[in-house]
Amino acid sequence: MTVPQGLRSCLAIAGSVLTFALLIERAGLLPAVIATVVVASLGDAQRRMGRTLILSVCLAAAVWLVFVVLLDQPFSAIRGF
Amino acid sequence: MVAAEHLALGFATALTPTHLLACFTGALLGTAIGVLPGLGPLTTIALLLPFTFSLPPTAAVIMLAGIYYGAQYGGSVTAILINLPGEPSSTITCLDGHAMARSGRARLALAVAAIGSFVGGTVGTALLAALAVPLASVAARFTAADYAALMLCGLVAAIVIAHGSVPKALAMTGAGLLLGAVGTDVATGQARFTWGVPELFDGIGFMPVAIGMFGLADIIHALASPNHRPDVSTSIERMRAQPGELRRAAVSTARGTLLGSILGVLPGGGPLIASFASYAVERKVASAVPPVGSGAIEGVAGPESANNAAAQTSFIPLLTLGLPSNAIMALLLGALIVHGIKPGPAFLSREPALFWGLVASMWIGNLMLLAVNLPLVGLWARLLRVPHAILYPTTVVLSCVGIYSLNHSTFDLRMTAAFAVAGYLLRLRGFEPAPVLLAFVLSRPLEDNLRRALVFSDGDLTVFLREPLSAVLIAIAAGALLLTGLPAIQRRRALLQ
Repeated sequence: MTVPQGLRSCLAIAGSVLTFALLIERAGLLPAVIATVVVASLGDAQRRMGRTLILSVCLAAAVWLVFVVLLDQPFSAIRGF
Repeated sequence: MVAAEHLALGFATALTPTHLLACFTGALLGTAIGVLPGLGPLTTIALLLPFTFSLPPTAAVIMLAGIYYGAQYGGSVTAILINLPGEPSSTITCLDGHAMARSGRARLALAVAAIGSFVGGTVGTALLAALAVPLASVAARFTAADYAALMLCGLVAAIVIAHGSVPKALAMTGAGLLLGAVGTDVATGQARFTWGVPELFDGIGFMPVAIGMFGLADIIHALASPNHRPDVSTSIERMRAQPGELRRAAVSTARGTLLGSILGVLPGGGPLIASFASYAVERKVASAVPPVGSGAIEGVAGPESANNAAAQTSFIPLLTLGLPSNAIMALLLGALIVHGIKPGPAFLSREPALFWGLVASMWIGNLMLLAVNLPLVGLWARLLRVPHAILYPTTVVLSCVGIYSLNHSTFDLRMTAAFAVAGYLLRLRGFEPAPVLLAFVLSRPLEDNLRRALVFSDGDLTVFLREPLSAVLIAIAAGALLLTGLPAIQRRRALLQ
């Protein structure tokens, strides 16, 4: 697939923010963060999917810890739980 | 001197171990949260405010001061390290601060920013203590026409300091003014540029514009040009100050402090205008190598001390007139009211102990900022060593969470995505984002004062030239714009012949 790198990075970053917007209320904080990281990393030509997944899970845990546990923000971690 | 006595009283109140601990904790928390990309001082203070509610009023106010300075410094850290301004007044720090970080001098930039902030804050506090009463009466004498002219000056400063072409900077300023005009007209209730979208009735937020056009646009740019990716990790150790550089930073700090102290007194974006004005001055005065705008120490020292000095003196209108000069001040005002402190014209005379205690705690907040952050400069700088493949998705995620936690609005997130793409495309064409942001922030206050001045004068535009101060300010603005135009005109003429 040959998408110009400029277009590809635009789509990845804008797409990742939009993904977060789409999922934060529908699916919850943890899935939103994981999906955002995955979409954002699609913009990196040298990405490694395994590393991205590990990063996304760690980030989701860290964000949950800081915002929900420490700062008491009204986010639901996973919608429905 | 009565003020000195009162200040001593204030310090006696503030300097107990418990209060120092409260301030230290506040500064630490404020920095720790404020340094997360996407969380500006406004969000940080809002998030941390509940922590102060359980404390007794004095301790709470002192902790709040710590949080405020910590959060503000956290915003400067992200501006320097990843080109993401946490608030309007650190926008300008991005230019030289981030350029310094890219050339492996992040630690120096961070240290200069911390020291400059402290110096600016200290002088501002001294001024606040000595001149609160007379300065408040000066600020109260400013007319709407004067304010409008002052903001015009600020906008011209943004054009003067922009790199590259003046017409492009003018266009960006116009775009910023229009973006700021989106939303409900306060005076008439008319919806402007809202296209029937209910979320736009309240206008566009600062964070979506700032994060989109600076931080995220920067990430897109770095991803799109992998070969030019800033490889700061290798050069981090190469950051000793060159001979004479610290002296230059000290001179700039002094200039910035002076400018900031004066401009901060005026309600209506004091720290913001101060940082831009200081930058414009450094651009003209400093003979730096590399030039200001591409990683000069002056471009960090001047604006950072100016915005802190201004932040300090902007407590004068807040405490004596009850007028918050920006969103953060408004938030602090709200927090003070929660703790039973009601700033206003009678505050100073009715509750001197509390007023001076507040002044003293502000200074202690500044001191704590230095105490917390100078040792941590190395740690923050080391953030740059995090590989880009980890740093940029983290920045995106934290920006999203930060923006969302401000208003719980997914619309803000969609705006952010749009501004990110727009910011990237504009940068490709050589348009700079800094003037957009300044014009965007000044748009509403400029309009309000313009309207007020014209209502008073019955729509007579000459009011701006009849008011002496406004006339001087407009003359300065016009002169500065002509001067920037001049070399370009000359070059074009040379080309034509």
